[in-house]
Amino acid sequence: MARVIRGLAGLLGFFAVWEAFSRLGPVPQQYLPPPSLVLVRFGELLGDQMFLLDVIASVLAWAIALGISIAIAVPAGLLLGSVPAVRVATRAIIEFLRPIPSVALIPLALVLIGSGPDTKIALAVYASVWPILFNTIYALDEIDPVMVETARSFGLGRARVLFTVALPNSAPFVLTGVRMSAAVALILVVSTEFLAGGTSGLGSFVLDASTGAGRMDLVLAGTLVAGVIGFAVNEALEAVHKRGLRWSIVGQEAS
Amino acid sequence: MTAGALMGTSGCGLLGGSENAQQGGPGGLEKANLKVGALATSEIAPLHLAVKNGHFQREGLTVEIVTAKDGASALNAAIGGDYDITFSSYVPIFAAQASGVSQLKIVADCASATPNTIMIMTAPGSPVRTAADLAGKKIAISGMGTISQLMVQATMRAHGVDFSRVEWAPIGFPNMPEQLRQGHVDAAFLVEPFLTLAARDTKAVPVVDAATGPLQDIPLGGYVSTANFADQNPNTVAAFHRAMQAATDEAQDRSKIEPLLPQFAKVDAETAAVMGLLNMHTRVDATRLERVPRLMREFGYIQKDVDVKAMIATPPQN
Repeated sequence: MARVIRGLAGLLGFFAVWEAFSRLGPVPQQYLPPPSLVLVRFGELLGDQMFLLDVIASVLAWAIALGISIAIAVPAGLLLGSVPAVRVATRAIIEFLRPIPSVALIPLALVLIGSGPDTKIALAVYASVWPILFNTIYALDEIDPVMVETARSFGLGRARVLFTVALPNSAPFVLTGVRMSAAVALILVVSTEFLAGGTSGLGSFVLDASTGAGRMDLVLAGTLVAGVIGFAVNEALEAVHKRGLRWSIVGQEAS
Repeated sequence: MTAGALMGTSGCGLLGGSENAQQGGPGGLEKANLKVGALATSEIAPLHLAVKNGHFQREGLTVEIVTAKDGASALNAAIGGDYDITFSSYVPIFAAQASGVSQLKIVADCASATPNTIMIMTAPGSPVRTAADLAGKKIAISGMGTISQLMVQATMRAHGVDFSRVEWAPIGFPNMPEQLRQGHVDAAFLVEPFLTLAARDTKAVPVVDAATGPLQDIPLGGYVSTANFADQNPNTVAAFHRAMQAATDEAQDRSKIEPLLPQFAKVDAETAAVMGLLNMHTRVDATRLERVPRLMREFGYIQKDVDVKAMIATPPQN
């Protein structure tokens, strides 16, 4: 309970600073509207059916992108982590591809894939595969060799060791990777919508609001929605971590 | 399996994607589902009206409007084949045609300039008062080589002002009023609704109306497709034109457009009620349109003449 109150206090403090800066600050209010106005717009938007469809489009694209990322990165991470030869062979290409910013690929993706939802999903997958992949690889590195030896000495085969020792051990790392990727994927989906345009999505809404009439109140309200979605996703994944992977958080949090 | 397919379809709809184009649509249409590129500007209100009030539907067309970041990217997406038809201002259209980047067809006209909708403005109390004061000043335009730069140059020349020493500042329309207020630029080329907003919020004052003299009623933008698309889909293009014609006729009644502006261009209802609207028409008139490439040639935007007549996809209607 105390945690919630402290969190709320932080949020209120943030809004107070924003309100004060907007009302007294050097930037005119139509460029940095105060939270009192933005929150009103936020409330109005939640009752706007077209906006809700935008939100659904973004969240759906995000969920698909994250799902695909997990489906690609976890098996790939297990493979790279457990077969050193493959890992050495792919190191150069991975280290080359990883730092390429997804948004820089937008023009290429527009030509290759077009401006539909597949573009934002593909770019989000590209960006969000890496955290999961690397966390999975490192998780396999971190396994206590004694545990593997013990399992082997009980006569377990390679596959059994993978499922009974390696997977439960790496699950917390993988989930941490998924949490990082969840935020990355959301950022990519919204920014692709904003930079590439489109028919719907939170980013397209922000694009319309900013280029159509320079409505910063709507822009910030839309941004706020993205923040709320990101926050909710992270809280949900944290809850999954706490409930589903109890063994990994023992002693970490006393609350 | 069926559930999966259903999920897929409804999921795609919610994602905002297009449904697969069907072949041989109703009424001899070569293509019934169109992806049309647009910008969040007020002049494309008839396009949204045509979707909302079923003008496309009556022609057997299903139109999906895709908003692009700017005219150039919308045009590129059409040239690349991602959009079937796109709205763009005429300057990039004729530039692409003249340079041979792509062969384009003009499917429908959109709007031309009317007084009080396109202005060069300045901050209150600025020494810039008339067109003559603009010489050698820093002027905000939406982008280099765009219709806004061309219109500023043409306006200055019409007033006998030397524009060779003007310093151009490419700035987005929403940010221009603030740049004026802070004195970063001496003047700004503003279009609606930003013009109304600038006058209201920063008390910006007009220096010269850009839609007068040689630029009176100048065609601003239209709907284009690649020549390939227009040649292969003549019935679809004609149906699109008819639907746009019906919607534009309806749009002459201002009350039909005003409620749409807050929806797609996010203009607040108050501004939508007072802002000036462009002169909207769909019929492509080669003689009128030729003014644009002629100006572009005179100001060095293109190096050779463009055959406007050959670019018109829809023959004039009876």
